[in-house]
Amino acid sequence: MYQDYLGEVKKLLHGKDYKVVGKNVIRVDAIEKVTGRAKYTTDFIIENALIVRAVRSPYPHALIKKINKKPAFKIPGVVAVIIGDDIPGENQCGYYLDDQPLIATDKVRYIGDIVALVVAKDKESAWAGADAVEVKYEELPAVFDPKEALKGDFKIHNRKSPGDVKVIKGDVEQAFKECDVIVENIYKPGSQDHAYLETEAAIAIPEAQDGILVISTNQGPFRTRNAVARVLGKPQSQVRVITPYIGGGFGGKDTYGPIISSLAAVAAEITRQPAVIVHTRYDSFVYHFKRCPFEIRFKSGATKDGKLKAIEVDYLCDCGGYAAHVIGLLKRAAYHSTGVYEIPNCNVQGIAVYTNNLPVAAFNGFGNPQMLFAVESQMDLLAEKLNLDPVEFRLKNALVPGSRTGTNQLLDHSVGIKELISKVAKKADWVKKRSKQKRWQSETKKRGIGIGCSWHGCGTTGFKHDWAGASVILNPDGSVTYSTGIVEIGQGTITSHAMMVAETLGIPYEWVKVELNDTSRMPDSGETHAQRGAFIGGTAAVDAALKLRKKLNKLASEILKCDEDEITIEDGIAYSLNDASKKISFNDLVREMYQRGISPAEYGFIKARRGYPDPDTGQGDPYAAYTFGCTIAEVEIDIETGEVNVLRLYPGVAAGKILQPDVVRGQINGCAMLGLGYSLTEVVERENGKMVNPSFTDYLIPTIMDKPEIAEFISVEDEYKYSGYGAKGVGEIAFIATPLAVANAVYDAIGVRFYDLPISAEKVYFALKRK
Amino acid sequence: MEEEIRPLPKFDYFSPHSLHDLSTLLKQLKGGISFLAGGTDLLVNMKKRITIPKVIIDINRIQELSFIEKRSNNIHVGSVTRLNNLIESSIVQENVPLLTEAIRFLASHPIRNRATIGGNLCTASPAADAAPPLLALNASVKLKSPDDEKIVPLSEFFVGPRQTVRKHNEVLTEIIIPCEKGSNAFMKLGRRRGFSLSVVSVAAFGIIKGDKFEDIRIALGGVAPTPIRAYKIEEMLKGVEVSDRSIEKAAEIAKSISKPSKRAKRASVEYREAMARVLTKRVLMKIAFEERG
Repeated sequence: MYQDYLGEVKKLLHGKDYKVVGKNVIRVDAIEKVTGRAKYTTDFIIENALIVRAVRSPYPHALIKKINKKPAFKIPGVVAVIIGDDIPGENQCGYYLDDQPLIATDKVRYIGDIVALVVAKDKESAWAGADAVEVKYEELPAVFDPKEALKGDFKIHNRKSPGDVKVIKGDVEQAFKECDVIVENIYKPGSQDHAYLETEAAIAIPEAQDGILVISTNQGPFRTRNAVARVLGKPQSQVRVITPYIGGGFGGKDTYGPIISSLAAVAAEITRQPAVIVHTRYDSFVYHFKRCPFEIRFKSGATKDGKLKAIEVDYLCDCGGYAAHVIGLLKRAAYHSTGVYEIPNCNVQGIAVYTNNLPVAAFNGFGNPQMLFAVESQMDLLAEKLNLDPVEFRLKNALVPGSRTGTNQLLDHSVGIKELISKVAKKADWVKKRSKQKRWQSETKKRGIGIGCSWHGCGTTGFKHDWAGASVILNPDGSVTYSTGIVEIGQGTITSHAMMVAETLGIPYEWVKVELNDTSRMPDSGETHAQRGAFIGGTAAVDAALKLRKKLNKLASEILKCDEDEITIEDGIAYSLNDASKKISFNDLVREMYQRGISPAEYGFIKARRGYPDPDTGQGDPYAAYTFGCTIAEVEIDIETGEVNVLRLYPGVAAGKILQPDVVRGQINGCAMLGLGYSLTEVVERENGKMVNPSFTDYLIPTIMDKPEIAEFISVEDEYKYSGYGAKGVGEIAFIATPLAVANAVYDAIGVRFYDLPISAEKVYFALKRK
Repeated sequence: MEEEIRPLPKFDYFSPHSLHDLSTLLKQLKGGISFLAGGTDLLVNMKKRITIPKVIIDINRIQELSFIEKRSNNIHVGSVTRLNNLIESSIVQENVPLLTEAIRFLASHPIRNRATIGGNLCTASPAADAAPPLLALNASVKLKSPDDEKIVPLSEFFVGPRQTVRKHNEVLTEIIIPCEKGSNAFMKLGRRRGFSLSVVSVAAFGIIKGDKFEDIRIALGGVAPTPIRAYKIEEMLKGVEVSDRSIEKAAEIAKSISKPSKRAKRASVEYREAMARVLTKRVLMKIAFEERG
C-alpha cells in the first residue's frame, strides 16, 4: 500500500541525474504574476452579481431574542435577508467539531458572530440593509481569559472545552528526581494575523441541474465543497469549487475559506442568482480567525552530563467562541513538545478552552511556534545552568535515525537535524560570535546571537484522514494536462508537481500545463496545509505519472523491439539504453497510445503512511515524516530605545529532496519575515475579544526595510523514501525557528529573557530599565 | 478605538481649475467643506465616518498650488505638491535638506506619490513628520479665503490634535521656508522601520560657533497634542558650550516639556517621554558632530 516512490523513480531513471527536479525552473505562475495578469477570486466577479453583507453581533456573548428583517427591505436595492432558519441544509460549519452554526440562531459567542445576511443589488444597499436589520439581544456574561473561563460559571457551549490531548511516556516523576538541573517557566506566546495581501472572498453561481459553482479564496477546495454541500443540503456532486490563485493563505483561508464560501453559496441558492461576498481589510482583520494564543507551563530536566531526561508540560489554548481549528493545533503542539530531541519521559497535557474571543484559525506552524518557543527557551536556560554551549547541548540530545519521539514513533530514516545544526552553526560562525570576549558593542548598542531548532510533521496530524489525488492526461500532441487537488497559495507547489510529472514522464518541464483547481475533476485531496502540498499532493502526481510512464516504457519496447528495462525517456525521446539508434519521440509514442486504444490518462492517489496516536497516552505515529529546521539569528539592541534590530538570519532545513531551490528559498525568506513579525512587532490588540488595531498602520507586519540579511539557506537532503523524489515539506518549518532564534539572541545580548511574544521595543526598554 | 471601514458616504463634488474659481465657489458654499488634496487621510476618514463632508472641493486640478520655487531667500512650496516631488526636488535638497530628510521615510512610496505637504500639515496629526522640520526652520503658511490672504507662522498654526487655526473657507495655498546655512538633524522612532508612523520625532537646525551653540532651533513630534517647538531648550543652549553635559541637560528638558496625551495609542506616555530625551540627545549630538567635524 505504501510505495517506495523514491526507489521506483530512481530505478526508472537508471540512476541517472535528474533533468528537471532540483533545478531552478521558472515557476509555472511566475510570468503572469509579475505582469499582473494572474487572476484571483475577485477577478472572476461577474456583472450583476448580488452583493452579500453579513449582519454581525456587536456583543461577545448574548442570546438572540428577535430578528426583524423588515426594515432592511425598505432599502430599495435589498433582494433578500437570510437568517439561520432560512438555510436550506444543515446550519453548521464547524471545522473539526459541529459546534458552529453558519448563521447564529439562538446565541452569539464572539463580537462578529454572524446573525443574518443581507443580499442586495449593490454594495451601498447591502451595507445599508445590514445596518437596518433589527436584532434584539439579551447580553450574557462574557469571558476573555481562558483560565477564568475554565474556573468560572460561564456557559458558552454545553461544555467548557472542545478537546484536550495527552502525551504520556515513561516515568516523569522518577526522572525528575534523577535530574541535576530543572527549569520551569510559564510562556505566553500570543495571537497573530495572517495579514495576507488578498482578503477573504467568494463568488457563488447557480449552475445546470441545480448545481452550484463556487469560486473562492480557500486552501481546501474539497472541505469547502463539503461545507457548502452540507449547508445547502445537496450531495457533494452538486457543488463544484474552483480555486484560482490565492493571494496568501498561511492557514487563514483553510479555516475561513469554507465559511465565506458557504455564505455566498447560501445567498446564491436562495436567490438562484450569482452572489458575491468580499471582505474589506477591516472585515478581514476583525472577523477572520487568527493564531491561537497559548499559555504553557513547561518544566524540563537534564542530568549534569547534558542529557535531557524529562519534560512536564501543561498548556491552555484559548480557542475563542468556537472550536474551529483548535483541536488539530492543540494535538500538533503536544506531539512536538519534546522539540527535536530525544526525551524518554514525558507528561504533556493540553486543553482548549472556549472564551468569547474571536475563534482561532490554522496558521503557519499550527501550534508549533507557540510550543517550540517554550521548548527552545527552556533549552537555552538548561544549557546555561549546565554551563554548556547551546549548540553543543542541542547536538547531545538531537534526534537521530533510530530515535523515538515523545509519541514513541520510531524514526527509521530521514532525520537530518543533527547534521543540520552543525552546518548552520558553522555557517553562522557560531563559536566565534557566541564568545563574549571579542564581541562588538557600544555605549548604546549590544549584540547577541541565538539558535532555534524546529520540527514539523508533514501532513495532517494523526486523528484525521490524509490522502490526495492527481491526474495526468497525455494529449495527442505530446503535451500534458495535469490536475491536482492542491491549491497554489503563492507557495509554488504546483511548479514542483509539474517538475515531478515531467521528470517521471521524461519530458521537458514546459510541456506540462497545470490546470486551475476544480473539485469536479479530482477525488478529495484534503487541504493545502500541514506542509503536505508537495509531500502528499506531489506524491500523488508521481503516482499518476509513474503509471503512465510504465505504459509508455512497455509500448516503446514493443515498437522498438527491445527489452522494457532497456527503455529510457529523456527530453521527450524514448530510446534503448543499449542501442540509442532505437528511438521514438514522446509525441509519436503518445499518438500510438491513442491508436492502440491504451488509455493516455491516469489518476494518482496516495494516503500518508502514518497512524493514529492513542487518545489516552498520545503514543503512536501521528505523522509520516518530519521536516527539521534550524535558524541562527544575530541581533543588535539599542539599549536606549529598546529597538531590536535583527542583523542576520542563517536559516536551514532538513526537508528531504529540495525540488526547486528558488521556490524553497522564497518559502524560507518569507517564513523568516513572518517569524520576525511574530518575534518583534505583531500584536493583535483586543477589547472584549475584538481586534482594535485592524489596519496596517497599527498591525505591524515587517516591511522590506525591516528585512535583515538572510544568508543562503542550508539544506540537508534527508530524503524520505515514501514520497515523490524524497521530498518533505518546507512551508512552515523555517517560520517556526525564527522567533526562537531571535528570542534566544535577545537574551544573549542583554541578559533579559522574554516569556511572551512579540519582543517590542517598548517592552525591551522597560525590561532594561527594571534591570 | 478603530472605526469600521464602510463604503464612502454621499457628497457633492467640485473640482475648480484655478484659485479664482475656488474663491467664487467658496463664496457660494456654506460650510461642511472638505478639501481633497492627496486624499490619503480624508478618504480613509470618510470611510470611517470620522469626517462626513457635505461638499468635497478637489484642489488637485489647481495648477497654481503645485510648485517649488526659490524667491529671494525663501523656498515657496505650493500646498498640493506631492511629498515625493518634494523629496526629489533639488531646490529643497540644496536649501532645506532637513525637510527632505524628514519626509523621505514618511509612510510608503505609493502614499508619498499621492500625499501632499499641505495635507500633511492641515491634517495636523501630533506625529506628522513634516511638521517638526518646518517648525525648526521657522516656516510659515499662507491661508487664503475668498476675501483675504494671510501668512501664519507654523508655530501658531497647530492648536490641538487634528486642529489648526485654518477656517472652513480658508485654503492653505503655500508654505514658506526661510533658507539658512547651518546643520540639520532629524530622527524618528517608529515601531518598525518602513511605513511607520512616528512614535516620537525630533528635528533640529543649528549653528555652532567655536565650541558654543550659537543658535539652535528644535521641534518635536509625537510628544504633545501638537508638534511643538522646544523654545526652552533653545534658550538654554544659546551661547552655551557644546558638551555632553549641556546636551544631556537639553535632553532632560525635552523629556520634561513632553506632554503626550494619555489617550494616544501606539506607545505609553512614559515611553514617549523617555524617547523624547533619547532622540533630542542624538539629534543634538549629530549637529555638534557635524558642525565641529
